[in-house]
Amino acid sequence: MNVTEKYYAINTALNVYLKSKSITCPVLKYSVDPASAKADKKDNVNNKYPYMQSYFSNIKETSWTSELNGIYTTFDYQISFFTAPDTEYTNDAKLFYPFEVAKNAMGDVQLNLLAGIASIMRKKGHYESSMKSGQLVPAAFIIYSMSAICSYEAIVPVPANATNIDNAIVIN
Amino acid sequence: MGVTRNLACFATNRTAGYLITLNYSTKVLQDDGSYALTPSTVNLMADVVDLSEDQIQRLQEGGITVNNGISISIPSELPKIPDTITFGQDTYTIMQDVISENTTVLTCSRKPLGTSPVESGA
Repeated sequence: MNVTEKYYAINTALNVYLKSKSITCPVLKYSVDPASAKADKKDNVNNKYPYMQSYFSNIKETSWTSELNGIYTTFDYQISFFTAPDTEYTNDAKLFYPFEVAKNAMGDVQLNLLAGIASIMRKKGHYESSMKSGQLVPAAFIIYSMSAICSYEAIVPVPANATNIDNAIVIN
Repeated sequence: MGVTRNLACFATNRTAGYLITLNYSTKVLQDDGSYALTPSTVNLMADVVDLSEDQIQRLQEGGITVNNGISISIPSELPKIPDTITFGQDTYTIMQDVISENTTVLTCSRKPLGTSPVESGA
């Protein structure tokens, strides 16, 4: 898996786990914004909250790479969670339940949700809220710093004389 | 009252002389967070007018940026706003829609050449 495939693999692992727990809160890819989806505006898609949106960024790789070793890569994987309480006055702690489940599942060492995909090195996050069209939208964010060995995608022919160091010093 | 109400639709019917294609897509959410898109199209006749400089400037002041825009009047109420519209060789994205009294008016902006008529993942 290269780093992009790993991003979608993490999304899949989270979505499958949340579905198995009967939690209706999809983890959407970046660039999907159901709150302002133009094409779906007339489809009465009002039950768009809660949802999570994931991003990946800050990708760092070692400069020297090879097909043999793969590419040691560190990247940030962010989950943004959005929900909408009925009124801005109520206690909305229960609405954050899907986010808490996802957060705990990601870090659970027994569940090992990201086995074979990536390792979490550390995480940090914060909460905030905003108003969208008169609707209070509390949001929670968490950023995972991850590391993984990504596959090497370039097809590079290996020179015949590179297989044996003795061949390199033969003087013709 | 009835005549007045249908006047816009009547006028649009008379001037609808261009074939346009409405591009829809059915979106099914997948586990990896992306959507599987099934495109579908609807062809119909409509009136198409190029937006003038003044109209583009007015839209800009209203917060809608349009480049190479057109206005499309359709003599029916669209039940669903399409993802994009194909007119001639060009694909247009919809910036604003007004639906009332059996008439749909769409303000559109041309997408860059080579882009797919179906919006990806949106």
